[in-house]
Amino acid sequence: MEIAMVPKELWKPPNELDVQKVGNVICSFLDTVSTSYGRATHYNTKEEQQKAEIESHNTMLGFDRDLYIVFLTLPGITDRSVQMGMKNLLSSQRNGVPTSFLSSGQERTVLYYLIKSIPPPRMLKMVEGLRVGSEQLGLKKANNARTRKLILRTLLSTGRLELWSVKYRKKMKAALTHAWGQRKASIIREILKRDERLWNPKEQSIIQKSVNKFCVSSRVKPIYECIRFIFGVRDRVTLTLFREFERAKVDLHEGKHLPREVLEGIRSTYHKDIPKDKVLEAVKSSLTTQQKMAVQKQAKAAGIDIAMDPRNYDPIKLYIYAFECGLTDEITKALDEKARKAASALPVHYKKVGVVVDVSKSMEGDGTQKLRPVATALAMRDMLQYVGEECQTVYCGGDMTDERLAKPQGATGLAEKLVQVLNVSPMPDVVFVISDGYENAPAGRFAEVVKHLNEMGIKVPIFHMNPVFAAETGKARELAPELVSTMPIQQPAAMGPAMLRELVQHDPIKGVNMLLHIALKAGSNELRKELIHA
Amino acid sequence: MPRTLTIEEILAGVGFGQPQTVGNMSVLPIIDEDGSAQDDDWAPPDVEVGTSHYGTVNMRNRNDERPTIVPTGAGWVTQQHAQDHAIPSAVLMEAKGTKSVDVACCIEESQGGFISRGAHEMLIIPASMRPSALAKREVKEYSKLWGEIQALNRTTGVDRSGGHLVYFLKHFQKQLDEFVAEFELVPKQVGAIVFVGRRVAGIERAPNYAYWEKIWIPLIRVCYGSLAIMHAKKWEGKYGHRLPLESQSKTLDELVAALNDLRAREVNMLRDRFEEESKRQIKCANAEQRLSTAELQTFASEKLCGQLVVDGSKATYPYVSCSCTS
Repeated sequence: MEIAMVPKELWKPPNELDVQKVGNVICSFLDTVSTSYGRATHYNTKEEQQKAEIESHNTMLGFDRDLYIVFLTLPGITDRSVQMGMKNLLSSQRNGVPTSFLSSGQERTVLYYLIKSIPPPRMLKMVEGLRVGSEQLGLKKANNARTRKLILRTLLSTGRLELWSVKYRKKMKAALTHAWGQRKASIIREILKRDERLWNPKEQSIIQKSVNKFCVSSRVKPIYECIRFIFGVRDRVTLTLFREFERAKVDLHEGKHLPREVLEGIRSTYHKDIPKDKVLEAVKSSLTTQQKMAVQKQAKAAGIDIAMDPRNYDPIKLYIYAFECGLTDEITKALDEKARKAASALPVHYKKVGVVVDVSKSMEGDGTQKLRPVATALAMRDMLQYVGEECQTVYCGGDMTDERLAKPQGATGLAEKLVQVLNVSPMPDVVFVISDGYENAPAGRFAEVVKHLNEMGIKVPIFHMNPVFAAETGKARELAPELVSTMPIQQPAAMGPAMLRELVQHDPIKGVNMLLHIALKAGSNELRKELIHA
Repeated sequence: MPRTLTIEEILAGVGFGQPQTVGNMSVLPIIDEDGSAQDDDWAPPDVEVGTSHYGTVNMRNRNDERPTIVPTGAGWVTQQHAQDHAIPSAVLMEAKGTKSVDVACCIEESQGGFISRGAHEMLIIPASMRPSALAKREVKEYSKLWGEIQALNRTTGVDRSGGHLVYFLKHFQKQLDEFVAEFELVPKQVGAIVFVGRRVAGIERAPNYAYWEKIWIPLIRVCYGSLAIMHAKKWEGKYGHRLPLESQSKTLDELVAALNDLRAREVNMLRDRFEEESKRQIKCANAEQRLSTAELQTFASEKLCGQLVVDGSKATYPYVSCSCTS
């Protein structure tokens, strides 16, 4: 195996800290942020999941704030983890806590990068949570100047403000009111109602400090109109979406550029006699990428053709879609391309790779995450085909009618499959076992076999990749504790960081710096330039 | 007329799958590979349940087209401020039918209130209580299982006393949920032989695949999961069915052979234990309920007691549910 060398050492642990402890804290945090959705799994309640998450975040933040910040930009971190991380950072001070290599300005840069990386509905929900705290999200209150500036910069400088104003207007109103304060928001609304040529110097100053400062100067007029729209002022509309919003109330077909849910809302209020399918037909050209996937079934049933480009979706979503609607050649091609690309970004390469894929019944997942574990497993399997020059794959359980789309079924006998994948000539250089960690044919046999292999002198490294975070252990469930490294993985892009876990355990300085390198390479351009290329 | 037969006769026409073993519990799936033993006349149990008096459970079969069998020991623990209840005996219900069981058991001693009718999630009472519940199935006394529930809580170290099954369920929620993840449904499964420790703990057989899929989680989670927990408390997790891998293999081919051999020995161990039980005579009491050509009968052998449904028109036993008596 080869690992790319890190060009620059950014981080060193404090001298007084035990190397082992450093590795444990960081690995536990990485496990959490790469697999936890805060929802129930097949095995744990939602409350248990959330408690384990909060603890993991607090430990890491208390350990090293800068590592905490940058690790949130690693590929494969869940949106939920980013939300939680942001809230923790915004509700806590930088002064007087362990930090190592970032300046305050650089922390702000990362925070801005992170808030933009979350999908808008989640970002707005997080902003709402900042105001009042959200027990459900495990979030503390963060109502300070720094937070307010971040919110305003994010909302007012986005190139999608017109769309967000019409699609999320209530949440946008709440977010802007939070950032400005109730009183100032009212004042701004009243000022913007009037022609700007009539503003007095004090009003100009208010708008300059509260609005213009956060956006590009050439775009202030549309931004004023967006703010007016958000706060319910609907005269003097010039922007396309706002005009369509008003006109669609009279003639539904005038709303063809509106978001689907907005036009559906107008239909259900003003045009109850028009069937829902008409909305889909009207807006099909303006559907988001995610919506195009979500409505395929409905569209087909209604005879509406909505083109969906599989290249725009992550491989896990594609597999979940394929389980429901079938696997087309186009989807297969997109999956292969993504797998190749993900494999090329890994910091390691092998000659021959062995893969054991658990497709037993429990990989079906829980109601709220139905089919996600097996979809993740299949996406990982695809990527691993390109990690070595040669690859051999075996399956444990599963309906193998279509091997590409193996369906969860049957019991879990991983031990025999491990031996099977090794018992070939030449033997693989590495074996990856993709499984939720629940074994029953019988339980414990896998660990016995690994121990036996070691005694036989077979030293092929074995990695267990687990797409499920189990709250009862505070990490992903292990198949063979102390014998096999278990890496929690939610998507192929997260594999690079996951593969470095072992390095983090045994050589934290090297491992952590490698992780930082990956995070900075994938994250903010500005920070990458400042920290890597400086 | 009471009669005798054997479990082997009852399970004629079905086969067995590969066993699953986790800790001290093993499951040997009963498989109907070609579907020839399926009885699709019975719908999976999907009932609306409510209580109107303490000790009275009112049920409605939500399936409009097919009758169903509400399993032996079915129970309902709800979030309502109402007394949880269970029924000691299985109930045959016609399509869209309603039934009131006035010999039901309260399983939440000091909680008052009646359960509002709804499609509440069903459990099956701990296997350790089923023989006692069956023995008292015709007794009109809603407190008849409180002693058993108290004993369960006490022996498993639940730190609250009283005839509240929900105390046990909350105390061991994590372990019970894990059983569901650990023991997986396999294709064509219509039943299971459950072993706890080194004994047959129960034999379950459903009329068809869909029925089995519906009752599997209630069975493995609370009914048999509770037994595994009790056993583990008593024997500290010993006496499971996993034999140690003590191979001297020097090559992978030898290791494969060793694993196959080990597996075969584990399977044979389970099957031998079951075979011993399957050949014992069981005595069936007279039919207690009838629905068309089907009859519900209660039976007992030296070590097992339970219920079965016999369909005279087909000479089959679409339903069997029994647990060990000690």
